[in-house]
Amino acid sequence: MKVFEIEKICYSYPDGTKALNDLSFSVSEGDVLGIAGANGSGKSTLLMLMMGCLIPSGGRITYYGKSFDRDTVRSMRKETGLLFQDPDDQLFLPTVWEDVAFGPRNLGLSENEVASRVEEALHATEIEELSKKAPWKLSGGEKTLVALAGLFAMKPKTILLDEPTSGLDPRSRRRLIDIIGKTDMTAVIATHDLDMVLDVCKRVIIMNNGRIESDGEVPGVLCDIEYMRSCGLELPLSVAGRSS
Amino acid sequence: MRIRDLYKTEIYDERRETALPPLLLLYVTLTYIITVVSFDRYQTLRIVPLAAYPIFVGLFSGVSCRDLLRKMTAVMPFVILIGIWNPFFDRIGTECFGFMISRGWISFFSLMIKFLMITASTLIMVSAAGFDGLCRCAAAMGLSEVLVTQLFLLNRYIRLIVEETHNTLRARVFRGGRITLSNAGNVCGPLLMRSLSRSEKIHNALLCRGFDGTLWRGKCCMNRLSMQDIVFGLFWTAYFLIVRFFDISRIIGDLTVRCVI
Repeated sequence: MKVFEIEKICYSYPDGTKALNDLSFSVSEGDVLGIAGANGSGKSTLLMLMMGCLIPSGGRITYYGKSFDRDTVRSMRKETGLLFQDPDDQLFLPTVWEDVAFGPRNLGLSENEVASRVEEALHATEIEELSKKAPWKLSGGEKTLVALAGLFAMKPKTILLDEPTSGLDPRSRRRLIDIIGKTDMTAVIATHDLDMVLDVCKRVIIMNNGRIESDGEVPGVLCDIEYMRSCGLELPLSVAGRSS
Repeated sequence: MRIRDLYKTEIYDERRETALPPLLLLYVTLTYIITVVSFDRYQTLRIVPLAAYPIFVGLFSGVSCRDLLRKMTAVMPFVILIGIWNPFFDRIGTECFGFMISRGWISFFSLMIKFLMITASTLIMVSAAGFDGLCRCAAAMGLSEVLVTQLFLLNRYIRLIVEETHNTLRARVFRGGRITLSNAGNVCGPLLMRSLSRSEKIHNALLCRGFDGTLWRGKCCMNRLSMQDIVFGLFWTAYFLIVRFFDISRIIGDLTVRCVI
């Protein structure tokens, strides 16, 4: 079953700069799709389009076969979570507990159900001890985990993660990769962290200048050194280490 | 004083573990403000016993006295600007502690005392209850949800602007830049654009988590007041009424004089 189907979408910024050009791919249930690309290749813009935060200037996005309209976007957002690149944009309530509870409460759940979901999400992300803290007092890695807990608490079918490991120390990064690796949700991960893609994803899309350069199985795409360089990327460190 | 200092600690730091529920704090603070404002502008000494409330609740809630003074100092020039004209317009003399003084000066001091009391009590209330606690409380009391949500988001936006201002100024200062009148526009314009861009991101993040304009749907029920809370509320209400209708300062003064004599 196709979760997202993206057909020839284009997007230009208000100043006329083309961010995405004629992009087509699909995400099926259970896929863990990595989207890799150099800075400015349009990864974040693509995720924002998939969440209905931006409107494409051309092409079509469907969610479970339904074209994006107000109702589809609303119901899609209840089943899909987006982790923003900067967790500070995502966290806004005074305590971690309240912030994680924000999503479930918007789903109209009872307070008991909200509480149990929050506890569950905090446990899954291993941050129970932060529940009473103010989000803006946390470190970057902790903020990312809190933002991720906020997504998990909504029990989404699909998660879209925008640079989830950026700014994390190796330990926090490993923790996050383990957490993402354990979930059985459909996931789309936009990242520069090719080792993470190698660890977590089954399929990868390489983007360059707003276009899809390749879409295929992870090892096949990521291990081609010449191709990766032509896209402004390098081999994952673990692969580069092995080949040298 | 740095701009960020004005907006930090009280509202956005970690929730203080106060035993006082927001609803109770809101009620007692409103009653307090009404009582303070109800005094005539020449009844300076009669207001003084009301200082007990902010002192007590401030100590009880663990609010930092230093932060409180910082914030009050920042607003004080505006109040002085308003009150300083009183001595010029109201020159009728009156006796105070054996000295002749114009009634304008008495009303000026009265204004300053009222300002200090009201500002301190309000800041302590926000600090102890948390801004979100007060918004939730207002929603539970039947205030329009749209209004409450706007208030909460406005508060968030102010914090965002303060953060962006702090970052922008720091970035300029670290690179040897100085803010002058001639380049202030170059600072303010990008600052506004940055704050708008971040607001948009925050709004998108809210939308992505199912936000539809209501922040406190289905959770407006406030915690029930305990017996201690009710006693707290009744005690202070009674105290305010006694201070309002009896001249406590005079009674204490008379008693002291009698005891001494």
